[in-house]
Amino acid sequence: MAEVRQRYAGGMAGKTLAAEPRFAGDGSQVRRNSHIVHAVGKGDPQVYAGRAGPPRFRVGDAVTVRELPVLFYTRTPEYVRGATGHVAVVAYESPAPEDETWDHPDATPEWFYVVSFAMAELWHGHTGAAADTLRTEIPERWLEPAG
Amino acid sequence: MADHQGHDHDHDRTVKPMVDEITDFEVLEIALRELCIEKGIFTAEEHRRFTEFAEQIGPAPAARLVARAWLDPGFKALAIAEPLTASREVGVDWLEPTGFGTPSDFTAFQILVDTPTVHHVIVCALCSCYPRPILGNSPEWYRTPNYRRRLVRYPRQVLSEFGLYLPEDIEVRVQDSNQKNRFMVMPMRPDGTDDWTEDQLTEIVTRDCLIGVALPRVGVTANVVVDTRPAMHPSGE
Amino acid sequence: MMTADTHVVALHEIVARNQVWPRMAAKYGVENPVPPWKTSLDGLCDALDHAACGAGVPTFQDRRDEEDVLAATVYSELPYPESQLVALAHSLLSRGIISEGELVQRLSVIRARLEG
Repeated sequence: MAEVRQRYAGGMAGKTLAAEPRFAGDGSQVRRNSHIVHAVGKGDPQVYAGRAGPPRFRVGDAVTVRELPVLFYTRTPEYVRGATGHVAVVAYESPAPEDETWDHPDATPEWFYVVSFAMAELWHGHTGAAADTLRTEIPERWLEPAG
Repeated sequence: MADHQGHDHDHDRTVKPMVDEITDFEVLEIALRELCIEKGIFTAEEHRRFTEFAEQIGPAPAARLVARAWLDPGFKALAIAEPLTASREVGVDWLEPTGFGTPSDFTAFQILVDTPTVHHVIVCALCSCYPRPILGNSPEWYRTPNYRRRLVRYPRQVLSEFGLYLPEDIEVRVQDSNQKNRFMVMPMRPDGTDDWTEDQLTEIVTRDCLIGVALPRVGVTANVVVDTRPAMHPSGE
Repeated sequence: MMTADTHVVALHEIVARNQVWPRMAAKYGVENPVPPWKTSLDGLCDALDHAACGAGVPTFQDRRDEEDVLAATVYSELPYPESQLVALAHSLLSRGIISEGELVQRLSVIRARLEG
């Protein structure tokens, strides 16, 4: 921002607020996120495209969110566990976040789905409008066919 | 006339106020940064690149994308089918600044198109993920547990706190962006904007409209002011 | 695991001195709603998130979860983004990535350099 540069230039006798670490090194010691090799020019999750095999579910399929034991890390919201909705979008392939946090270079990608739920299905005593819905993204391992 | 304007411009520049004190927070930020660089966690160059990214992002490209889509059905179709391509047309490359995107924004961008029967609103209940490359930094209220916990549970109540009331026959569709997809809303074009230029339309597409907590209106070019403090606690806490 | 009970003296003193942006901006008549170090803090957070895990560095989720807890408890008097910055410092300290001793020393070295 122009104001930032101006503030640094004039406000303190021209001294820059740049960091002055005692040694900056050449970066060769910094452990690199493995993406730098594979994902440049493609992006994440595009880098994983084609690696998950065929998706198990299609748009329109009725699905129920499984009640999996959660030992460590997950991004599947608690409020959808056990709920039934339908697949709105077959979104992308990626390692599930349950695996990805360990930075496994060989973590197997799976399909991610945008699943649509009726708000009335998610919340007991839902008094809001009957048509209201919620969508969220769920990896394949968390889904099973409904019914 | 030109000289007078030139004099005023110079006058403004020399007396523009600055905070002429070094605050503890400025010092703390530098200290954390220096120590992390020394410990080899990242390099000064990496920090510089990410800081430059933070300095140039803002909501203008997203607003322009919506305005252009309102005027050009072909561009609207592109925005739906190829949102990354449409982003580039308004100057945003989701692969920046690393060549594969930022560590928290990823490159799976989708545009949620409002219809006469569906209104979208966006949240990240887990941690406040947000489409920074095209929309800039998230507002403080978006990051609060107050918003994140309640929008997925009581969306219409939360929207009413922003002054947005929707009829019951419109579906309110909450999008919880909990994984790698990032979203923005394409609201419907309001009445009273016939013959408007792209620039005029861009002005009324505020950041709040792009999140879904407001609707674009003629004459409204500012975001809603929401009091984010104190955070709400359930009774008994 | 980090708890919000951990009391970090150096950070507590910074909070107490209260050089927060709403005060500073009002004092000097600056209209910018965001302090000038905010973008550098954003760069710092992105650089941390970009770093390989396994160095003990908090992940994006760790960092945000801790920021939420700390901003609601220990640092609830701080506005945003001061709360984000101080919560990050607290997270790095509690993980032992930096020590309170070296932080205190570095703060005074930097202040002396900038004011000198």
